Amino acid sequence: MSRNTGGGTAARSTSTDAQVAGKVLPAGPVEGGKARRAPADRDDGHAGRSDRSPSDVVLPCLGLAGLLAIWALLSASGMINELLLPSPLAVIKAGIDEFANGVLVPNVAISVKRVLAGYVLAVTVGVGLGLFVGWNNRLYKTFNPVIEALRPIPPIAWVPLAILWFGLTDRAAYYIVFVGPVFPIFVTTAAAVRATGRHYVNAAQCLGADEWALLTRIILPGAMPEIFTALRVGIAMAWTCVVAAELVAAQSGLGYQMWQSRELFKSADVIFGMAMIGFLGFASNYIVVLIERRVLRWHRGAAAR
Amino acid sequence: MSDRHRAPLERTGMATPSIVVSGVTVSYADKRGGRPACRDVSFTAERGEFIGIVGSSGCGKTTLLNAIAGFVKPSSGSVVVNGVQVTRPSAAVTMVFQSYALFPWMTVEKNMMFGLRMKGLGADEAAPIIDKYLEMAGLQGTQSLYPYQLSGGMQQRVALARALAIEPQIVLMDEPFAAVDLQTREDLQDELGALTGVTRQTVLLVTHSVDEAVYLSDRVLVMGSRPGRVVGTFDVDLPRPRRREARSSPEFLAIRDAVSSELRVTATA
Repeated sequence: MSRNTGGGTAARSTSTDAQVAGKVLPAGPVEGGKARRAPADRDDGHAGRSDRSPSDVVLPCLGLAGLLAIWALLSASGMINELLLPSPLAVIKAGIDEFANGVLVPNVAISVKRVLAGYVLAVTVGVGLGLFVGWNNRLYKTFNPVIEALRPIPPIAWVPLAILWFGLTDRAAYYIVFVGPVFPIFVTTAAAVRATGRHYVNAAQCLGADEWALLTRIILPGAMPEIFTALRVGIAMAWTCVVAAELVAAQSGLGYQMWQSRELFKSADVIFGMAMIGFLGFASNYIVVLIERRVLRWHRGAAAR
Repeated sequence: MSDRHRAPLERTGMATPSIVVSGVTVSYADKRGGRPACRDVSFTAERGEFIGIVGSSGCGKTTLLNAIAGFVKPSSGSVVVNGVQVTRPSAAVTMVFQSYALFPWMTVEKNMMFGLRMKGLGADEAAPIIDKYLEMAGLQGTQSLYPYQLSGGMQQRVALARALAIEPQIVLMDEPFAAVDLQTREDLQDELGALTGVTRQTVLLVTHSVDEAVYLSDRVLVMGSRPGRVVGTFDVDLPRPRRREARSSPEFLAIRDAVSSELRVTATA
């Protein structure tokens, strides 16, 4: 019996957990909804770049250049006091000075550490709890009102309590960074779990899956596309939270440094701090997107079908 | 793929029947009116028997399969598989779905591996079984592809191979070929016939197609609707292995017409 067996690209994979191991897809600029593009690994692999036009690179650069130009013109025109809006060059100089003085790197490091600690904790708790609560109807009925009551409280509103609990310590910052992203991640995970296709669960059950296998190998991977959306929202929130924490509840970090610069009226340093946070937020979002692309290889293809 | 056929002797002389469905009624609590989806359905399937179940839409065929698989609990009656009452889904009774239900986040190989791992097999033990069933289903070389990279017909072959690889005692099929084109459908029918001829599992096939039911089955049950119940049983005494030409033989046509007219009578009744 002869049949077409599809692309001849298949090679027997010997590792049992090679599911995500494969070629790394070409990385491109990702903004919001553009994260899922056409499958790059289908058939011949040329599709990855062929759907990108030069305008994908040129237009974003043009936008950024425009922003800088307007800023430079405004400060050069003398319409705005230079003390309030320093020129782009002054900001860059302030950054170089901070780096040279040895204040920049330690402050970046400590902010990154806080974001990482709080975010990892939020992801662990949010996804873990969301998985169980979404899966078990009783847990859901019990926990959901609690979550819905706590969720509308903005992360910044937790700052006073965090200081009372932990003082002006790293732990206060960890807590505030944790409390922001954990809710969207939890709520999204639980909702995605509850929406898991009944037929996947049925199919797994009649292939002999127990509860644990259902949860870890069917429910969790099935919810991954939604979870990753929440993880991207969460990483941005983590940066918002760390700055909020450092402005008030810490003696170090980028936010603290900005606050200090304000008190000394060093507006160039304030703006440089803002730019740093913007850059770090962008970079960490990009890392999440890279992980997403790897983990959701199957989904990019399935979604484009 | 081997053309070895199902030995008729398989169907006789076995002590315990494979499936005993007795007086099964299923009512869905969430549906208003409370009319059961199927009522008082009883039949027995011998080991290795291939039973086709036909009936018009909404006659409770799928509900019946779901009850046999353990996905829904009958409001009364019981399903006994190899002497054990079915209370929840298990690998003893596995189902092939119309929507394939392949796990899209797993490659073909991982999909095949899933059930085998649940049986407690390690990767080394599972690999030859996976290769064997993929080869039987004509799917060599697809191991590392994701479901979305396969055509509908190939996806259904994977679903079939995945179900058969765990060597369940019973295979339930719910309109497995409804979503593929006619040509693929006939290919798949032949492959299914050959596959189950080798593996000798008990098969219940729910289908809209009388032709398909008669071609593949040892026995065809006709279900009437509202509420769903078995209204007729037809033995298909056509020799095996059956080839496509059999579809135009007078014997085949006679049985097919008999089933069709029974179906029409129940539909208008």
